[in-house]
Amino acid sequence: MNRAAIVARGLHKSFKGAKGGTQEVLRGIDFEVGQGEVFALLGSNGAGKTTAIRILATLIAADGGTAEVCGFDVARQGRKVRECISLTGQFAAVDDILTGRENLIMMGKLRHIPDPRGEAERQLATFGLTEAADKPLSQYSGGMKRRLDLAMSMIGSPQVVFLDEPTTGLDPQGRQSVWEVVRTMARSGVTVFLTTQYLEEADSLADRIAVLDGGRIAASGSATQLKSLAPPPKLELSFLEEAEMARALKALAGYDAQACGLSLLVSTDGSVRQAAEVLAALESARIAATFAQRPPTLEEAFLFIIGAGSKTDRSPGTGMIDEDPDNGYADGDSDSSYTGENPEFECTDENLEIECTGEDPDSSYTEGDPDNGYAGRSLTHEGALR
Amino acid sequence: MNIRYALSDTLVMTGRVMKQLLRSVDTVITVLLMPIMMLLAMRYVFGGAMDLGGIGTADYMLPGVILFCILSGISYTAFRLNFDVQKGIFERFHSMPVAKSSILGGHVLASLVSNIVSVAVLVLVGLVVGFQPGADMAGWAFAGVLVVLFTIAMTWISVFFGLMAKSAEASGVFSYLLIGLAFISSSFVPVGTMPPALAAFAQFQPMTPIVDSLRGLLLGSPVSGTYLVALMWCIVVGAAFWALSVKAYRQRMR
Repeated sequence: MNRAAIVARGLHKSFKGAKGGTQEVLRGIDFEVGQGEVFALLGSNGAGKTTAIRILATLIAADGGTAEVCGFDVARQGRKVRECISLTGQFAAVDDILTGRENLIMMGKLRHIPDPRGEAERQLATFGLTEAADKPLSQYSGGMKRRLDLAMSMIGSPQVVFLDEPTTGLDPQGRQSVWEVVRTMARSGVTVFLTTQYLEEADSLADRIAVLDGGRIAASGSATQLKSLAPPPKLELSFLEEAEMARALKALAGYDAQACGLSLLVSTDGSVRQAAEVLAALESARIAATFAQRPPTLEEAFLFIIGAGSKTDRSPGTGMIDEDPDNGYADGDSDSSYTGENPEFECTDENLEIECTGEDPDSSYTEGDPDNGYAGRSLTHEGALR
Repeated sequence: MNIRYALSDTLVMTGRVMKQLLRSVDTVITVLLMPIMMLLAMRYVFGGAMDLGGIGTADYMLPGVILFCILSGISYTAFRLNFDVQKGIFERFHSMPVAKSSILGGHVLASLVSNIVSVAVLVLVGLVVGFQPGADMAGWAFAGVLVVLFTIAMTWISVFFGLMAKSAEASGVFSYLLIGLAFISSSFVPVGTMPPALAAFAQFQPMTPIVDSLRGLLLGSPVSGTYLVALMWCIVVGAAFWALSVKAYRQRMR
């Protein structure tokens, strides 16, 4: 018997495009998720995350390849699969008119469990919703709705839980509470398969991350392993005056150096020798500066990984597409999909804040929900993937 | 085993829709209050000016108002169903070990139950304002069967449009067409009083035999041939839209 909770082999899926052509959303993806593992499928909008989750949850059939969940084939043993999984979609699929308790009891009845009321009570307690249990969901906040949504997923003790972008559109507080809930789920031993466009989310929740880009798995591993795929660390040189920095730029003419406020980020191969050469060049020109070694961020690693993918195998015109043009979802805003044009780290004023001053990217806002009243210019330059 | 689940799932789904329905005030107003207002208006405002060939106003109008009541009631099915599709609620049900037939079945059954209740209330109000039924037990039973079949057929039309509509707001438009159809029939005036071309249309469109049958059954004045035509219309339309809905559902949920 296979110990893996989820096995995907060579999954392919194409959709008919609006203009009659076909769009290849998944181009053969493979992965395995062990029992009790938290696995994150990380990718930009339109990378194929939702399509992958829909195939695994038996909502749609793959065009090619096979997938097993809980040891059952998703194409041939759909009912068995559905008995052991639960799916939480991108938008809270809850009944606004019903109360939290009623929603949970309904789920219990539909899962044919012996004591729907008792189970509802337990989940309300686990997810901290006992107080709000008898209010209609129309009075819940976004974060509470999400939490109830997740509680509904846990009814009937599924072995594998699929969470499709569980925090998209939530405010930071809501996100934190959802993260807490996912950790609670993980502690209970359930296998969690989540998709996200936020690196920090994958980093913070998942044991293992697979980066999905252009319908292929561009890289997978732990967050640390992914970081190791990133370009080598950069030398960060800081100056007190702009004139000094300008002289430094001249002195380092042969190097790839990016200005970032009053700092220069110099790409090196990470060797002591090259670092010494850079510092020597400054010293010989008598330029006053301080230096630091800046390791690559996970975001840089991600951009590097999907940038590499876009250079090698993404043919023009097939770049980013809506995952499923027919499924009725508006897939966030199209602006936020990463175009793959510039995989290099860009030093702009926005990311200066976090990259240069170390402001915590966790505290920033997410895009995703245009209705949440927060300024649109947001995490895109910081924690979110572009 | 499977049939038991299908049955219990359908009941859970029906309960869900019934709760939604009972808790939204505007639905209760539209479904219950509007037809009652209409009956009162027909009886007391317009009735006096109409020559209905010797039949009492309430007696003549009630069957037409029952049709109107059902046609406005079923439009909510489209609205709720579309909402479920948009919000991904059906998607969630699909990822669960739920009998697929229960998902649409619950909506249809809830529509049937709620419409039967509104029609019953309407008939009671009718009795208060002068409706004098002449039906025997069999007449009532047949009238009941006709109301049930008509409601199911119309609900499947509603299901189909609910699945096809791009938004919940747009999903109810079809019901205005059906209500229009009910007006250009013998629901509220004898067909003979219309201009010839309209009268010909009214005579042969489905609402006329249905409302004539209902009236005949309730008043105990047989209109023989039309029963069969009325039943046939209900069954054909119901079956056609059931098939269309199932197809649309599969496409939408693909």
